[in-house]
Amino acid sequence: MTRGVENFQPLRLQQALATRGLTQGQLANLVGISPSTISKWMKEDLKHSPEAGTLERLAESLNLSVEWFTRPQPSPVSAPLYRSNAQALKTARARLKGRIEWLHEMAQLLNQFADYPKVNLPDFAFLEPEAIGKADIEFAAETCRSMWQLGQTPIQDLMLAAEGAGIIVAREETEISAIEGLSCWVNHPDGARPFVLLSADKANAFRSRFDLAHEIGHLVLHRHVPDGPTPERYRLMEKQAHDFAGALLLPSQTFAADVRIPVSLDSLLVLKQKWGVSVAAMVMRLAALDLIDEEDKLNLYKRRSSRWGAKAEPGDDKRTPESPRLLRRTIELLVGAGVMPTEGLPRFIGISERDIEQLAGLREGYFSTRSEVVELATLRVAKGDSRSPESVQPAVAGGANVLSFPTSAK
Amino acid sequence: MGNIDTNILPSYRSSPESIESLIITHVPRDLIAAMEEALITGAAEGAAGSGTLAKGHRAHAVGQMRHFRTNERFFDALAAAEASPTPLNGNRLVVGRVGIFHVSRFNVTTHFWSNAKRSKSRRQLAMFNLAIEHLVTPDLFESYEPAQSASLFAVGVFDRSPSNAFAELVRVDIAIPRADMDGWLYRQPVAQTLALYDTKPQITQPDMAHPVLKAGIAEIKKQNEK
Repeated sequence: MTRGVENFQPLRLQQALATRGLTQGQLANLVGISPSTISKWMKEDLKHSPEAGTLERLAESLNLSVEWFTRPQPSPVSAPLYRSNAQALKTARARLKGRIEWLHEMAQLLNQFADYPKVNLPDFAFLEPEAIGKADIEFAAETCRSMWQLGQTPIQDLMLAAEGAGIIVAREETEISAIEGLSCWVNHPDGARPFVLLSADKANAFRSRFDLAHEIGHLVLHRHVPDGPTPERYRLMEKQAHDFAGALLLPSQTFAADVRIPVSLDSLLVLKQKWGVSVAAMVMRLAALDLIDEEDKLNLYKRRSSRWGAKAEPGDDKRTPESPRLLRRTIELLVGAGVMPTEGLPRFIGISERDIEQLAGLREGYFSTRSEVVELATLRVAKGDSRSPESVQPAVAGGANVLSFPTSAK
Repeated sequence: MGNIDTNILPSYRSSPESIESLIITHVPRDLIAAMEEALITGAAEGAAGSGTLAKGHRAHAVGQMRHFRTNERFFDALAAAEASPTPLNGNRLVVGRVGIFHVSRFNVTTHFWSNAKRSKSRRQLAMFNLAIEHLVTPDLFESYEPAQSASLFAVGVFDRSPSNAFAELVRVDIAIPRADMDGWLYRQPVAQTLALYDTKPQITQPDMAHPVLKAGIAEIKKQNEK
């Protein structure tokens, strides 16, 4: 009788299935086994596990390393808060939760060798979103700006500021248009760290910046709110994160000084490029600051809709979406310092090369297509005979010719 | 060209300035916005209550009232910016002074030809712009001298299309006419003019998104390098 692989982690299989967006039946077809077997492997209490050969097929089907399925689960992430414009599917949420868990695990593994910037976010002890007032949101956004040394002017690169404050961010195409981002805190023995996953599907720099500001809002305002909010509470938290994003990107005093009353769409279009915020978001902020009333707001939205439609605005393509760089820099640092070879990274992290490229913001093909390296001959001098020209050996097998310089007679 | 004695050529010095830089330097940003507000408010106040007037002279009366109301608002805007406006006096233009600029206003219409040169005061003000015309059309044989005076106008653009019985203010431009008033050295909507002030270089955002090798790893790396 053959035995199952020891230390197989059912939770890993659950996570992989959700993240890859596969059903148990689909995976069973790919591996060539019955769905009920997959179901047994996924249950923690049954202690069933696949045999070595089956696990290999399973890992290959899911594009993960075999050894990854036997690793202990890392610290759990807090229930993520999703920025969704609709009631997104449960499976879509599970898929993105899996992605952010992979992001966290990768960051944690790399953290064994390199330190990330210290987490530098204000910590407010709000336990209930109902207790958070308008003034609290403004204060929280102002505190962030102050801690991140952003002054009161437009933020040049919010992603850079967020990563500088220790937030680990990934921006990737998720193919889930209903969810624009999600965020969570992960507790570690040496302190908690925030994570954000943003959707790159819309390729709109203005929306992406706002999405990130929205997620920062959740991280700052709702860090201590218990998981599993009711739908009403969830809507309130979404609105608060929206208001926070507006306050962070458009500080009341300087933004208000920039806006001319009565407000026209064209004057906001000029400000859009300056502040890096869409006209729609600026209208929302103007209403929050009571610079326009409800009627003005509706009129502006109607005119915006009739002139440009609901989804796009002029000048959307004038900015490139901000990209994360912290994890990319970490990988480059480790490779550059010789801590780990490039080809060893996927094996170390356990997920596929493409997954790492996407989550770490590396260029596509970073692992598969290397930059051309010009090999230079290195001189290795035999110990104890360093003066002898004959002792110089070519370092490269089959090697480069080493030409010795003529020794000058003294 | 190599044989020409360059000493006989006039000492041409290109101007380090532009019309835009003169505006930014001499006219406070807030005054640009305030002039627009004055023209919008004045136009609205001038038209208020006109419905009770007889149709035969309504448009004429509105035009008159708009002129007086706008003059009042314009005066306030200049006074608030400490631009020393000339006193309100009958039909006369209110003219302020800020930096090198004389600041005044006039209106134009979209569908009907309006002769901006008709006013003697405007023609006199425009003459000052002779001193800055070289910024737009450089003259090889004129050496650059910094301008001492120039004139800038807030121009209310009114829609007088046949379908629009009442002229309606649709836009406010900031304009600097040529000295002969046959063209513009600068004319842009207020929004674009305000955008000129936004091009100032910003303080570079600090980049703190850098990982560092852990102390132990860095030491091992150093030992390996030895």
